Amino acid sequence: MMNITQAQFATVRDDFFSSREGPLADIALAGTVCGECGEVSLGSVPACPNCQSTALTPTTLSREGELYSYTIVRNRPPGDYKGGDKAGEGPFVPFPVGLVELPEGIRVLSVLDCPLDAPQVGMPMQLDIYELYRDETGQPVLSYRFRPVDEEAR
Amino acid sequence: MRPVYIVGVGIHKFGRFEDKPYTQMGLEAASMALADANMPWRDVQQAYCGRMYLPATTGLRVLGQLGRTGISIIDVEAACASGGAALAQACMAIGSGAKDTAMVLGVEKMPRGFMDPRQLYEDWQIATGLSQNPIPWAIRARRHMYEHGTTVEQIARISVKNHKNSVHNPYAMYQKEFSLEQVLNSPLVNDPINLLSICAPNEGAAAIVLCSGDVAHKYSDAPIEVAGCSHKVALYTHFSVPLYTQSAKVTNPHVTQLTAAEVYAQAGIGPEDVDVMEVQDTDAFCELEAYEHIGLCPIGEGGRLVDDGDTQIGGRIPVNTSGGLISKGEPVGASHVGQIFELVSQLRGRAGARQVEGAKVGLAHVIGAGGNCAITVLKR
Ligand SMILES: [Zn+2]
Repeated sequence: MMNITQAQFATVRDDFFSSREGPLADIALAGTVCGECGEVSLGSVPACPNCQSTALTPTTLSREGELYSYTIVRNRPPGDYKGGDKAGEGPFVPFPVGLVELPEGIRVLSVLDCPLDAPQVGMPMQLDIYELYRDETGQPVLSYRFRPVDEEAR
Repeated sequence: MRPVYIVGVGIHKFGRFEDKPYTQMGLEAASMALADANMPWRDVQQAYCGRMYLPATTGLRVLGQLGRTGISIIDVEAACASGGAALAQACMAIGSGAKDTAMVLGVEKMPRGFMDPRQLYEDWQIATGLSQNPIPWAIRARRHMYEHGTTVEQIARISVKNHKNSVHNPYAMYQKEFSLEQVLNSPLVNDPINLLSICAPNEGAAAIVLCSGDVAHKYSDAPIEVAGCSHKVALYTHFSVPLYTQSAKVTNPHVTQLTAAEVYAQAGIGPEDVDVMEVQDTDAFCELEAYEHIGLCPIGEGGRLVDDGDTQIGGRIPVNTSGGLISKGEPVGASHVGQIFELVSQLRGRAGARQVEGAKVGLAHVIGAGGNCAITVLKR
């Protein structure tokens, strides 16, 4: 879906993304930094979850991090899952998920775009903004995932 | 706070009972607890009902069948700790002197398979596939293996232990032994957690009758003291359902550590004083992690505790003599109340083939979504 370059996109959660306009490679994860304790949160938050301060500033998160830990989703997730096989068409494809630790000091739970046997604790990962599905109007809906920096591990 | 005592317990088997309404299961557990306490329903001054997946006024719908006495009956919901949160409320009501008697009911009738994700997750988490409940436990298990060398065999042995214990528990769902090979070869759900090391949501009920020291003698010659009981929610940033981020900088104590410290202080004991424990085993790793957070061993040494057999019946500190949630199933609102039923059986010396000889102090622990945790300590 990397050929999408012009359109405005919908996203799975608008406050997670630095922009809703292409190209996708220019979009990063958005966050909030606390002016008192320095803790960084993904997306926008009404108060710092660590120190309760409301002195908050928007920030953009690094595109690269390190895999802290991971697991594999072996069965179709419950409810209205939109990934992989486009919600019910065709067989479910198992996928890895993991916590990716970013230099800002937070770990983000993410789908991992790599083979099931590829994840290793500590491996360098990079952000990938991708089209998760199209909504009923045909508009692409973006989400985030991480994949190994090392192309041989993809 | 003045002392609070348990004078009666009751239970409805945990399992699947397709044609049986929750009102009937709850009624059987409540009636059994009242009979055990030799207490008429009209003597109960306050009631709390732990439940998560049942409708409004569940506690009233169940207990109202015993007669409309006009007392306050309140449903309490705190995910997997619902029953513990309900018990904590009852202890505050009696401990404060506001009430002399109370009932805690836990009841649940859950849909099969994974829980409805909308109860716990945002739509975007469901859409992206991040909404499977075992994911946070599985990710913590993988990290524990990486940091401490914990093995899949050590984790699986906890499941083997719990299934073995359940054979002697008529209220457990499965009551079936499985070998280490069978556990290890069962299908993976979220690596390294596999099917025979995970608990199933199901149905069941349990009930407790509590009272103050002023009236306990009217109902029981051998009341069990609730020496400590607390419900807490995790501090930032204990990684649990439905969280999607974790701090890499802030390292607050785990909610089980915080709750255990509070309850040990209330009871005037430490982990070394406990004779028998029921702990949350949503999956086998969850139990291993609880060993460390409750203080049975230092952080990172849960696997060694398994190797040494310390938590088996006959070991230093038997854990989940009932078979745990892995073999009983987890009717969320009833799980902690069911743990209390097992501990009271143990402290009364009535646990049959599961009996821990001379057990005087018991501890029950639950933890679940949102970082909800409850711990109760009982003494005879
Ligand atoms: Zn702060």
